[in-house]
Amino acid sequence: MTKTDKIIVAFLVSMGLFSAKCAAEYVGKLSSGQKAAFINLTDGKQNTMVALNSSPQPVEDGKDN
Amino acid sequence: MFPRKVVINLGFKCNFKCAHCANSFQKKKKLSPDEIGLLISTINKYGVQRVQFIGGEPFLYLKDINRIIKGIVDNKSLEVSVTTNGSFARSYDAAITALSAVPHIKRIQLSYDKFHARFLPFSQVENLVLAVRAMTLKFSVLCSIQAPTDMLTLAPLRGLGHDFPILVQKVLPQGRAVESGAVYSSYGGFDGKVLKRRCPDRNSLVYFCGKGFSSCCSTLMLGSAENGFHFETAEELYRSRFYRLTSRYTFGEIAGKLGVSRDSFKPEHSSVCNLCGDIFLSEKRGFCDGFKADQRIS
Repeated sequence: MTKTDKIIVAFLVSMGLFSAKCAAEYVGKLSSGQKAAFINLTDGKQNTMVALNSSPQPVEDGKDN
Repeated sequence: MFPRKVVINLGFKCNFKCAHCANSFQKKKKLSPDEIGLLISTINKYGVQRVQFIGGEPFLYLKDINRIIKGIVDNKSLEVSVTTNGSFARSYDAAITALSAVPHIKRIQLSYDKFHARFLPFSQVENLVLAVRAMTLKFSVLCSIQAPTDMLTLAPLRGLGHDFPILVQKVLPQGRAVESGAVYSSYGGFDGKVLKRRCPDRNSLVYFCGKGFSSCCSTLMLGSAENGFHFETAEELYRSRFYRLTSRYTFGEIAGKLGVSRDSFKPEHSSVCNLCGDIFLSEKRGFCDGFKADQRIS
């Protein structure tokens, strides 16, 4: 697994979308373009991302319309 | 019981027709005068200082928003937030005008994802962000995803030069999402950690137009015609077994009390709302293991 793959796996796990094992399988199926886009999304400190109806505790204002 | 926040669904009218919309089959368009009176008296009774408006599209209901807010007696520290599709932000000035029409507004939550992006040009997102910044409002983005790669729709937001939280939500099997095939399905397997969680909305009081009060804003409120999950008054909710269970126990504990076998959980139950809905509906529909659930609930 490349460093890029590991970063994306960690991101998807931190979002509560996958377990580490399932995230690795998922990332393995992504195209190089998709991986680059994910890296761009996770890069830098701006915009904290939080998952709602998955494993991490959500923030309070998560209501859809 | 004192709710920290009241979430008010003003009605199901919307000027978008998103493929994932959970509300698409809901009929009631508008709160009745009696419902508005009930909401005002409930907010005043509990002294709630945080009110969130959802829809439908709340900015199509500005008169009702103003009626409710004007009825709140103790509004010194009132914080109003609105979850919107941003359709009013056709220009910077239009965005300022619309936002200024909501008294005590402190926070805007924009629904933006691949579904909303079909109807909302990114230029309007930019208008809204500029207006929010000028009015020093708090801002967040709610992004619904059908698959993890849908998060990539959010990439342009990073270029706005404004730091704000992005909340990611899997599309649940409700409303139009079912018929359009937009339901999130990229579950790797059942994640047992979800059984240790409690309802994230247990401290909120939710009111849905034409339905009533609940602590549920999702599966059991929108995806089920079953009784027992929404109530005519807040007091009825707080006396209910549904509230007692969801406010006190983890989902694993609730499943045990309702006689739902842990062997029945599927990958999609990794989402709390899917899990909660199926636990309670399993009992309603007689899929439990034969014990009388009430006997096991303290």
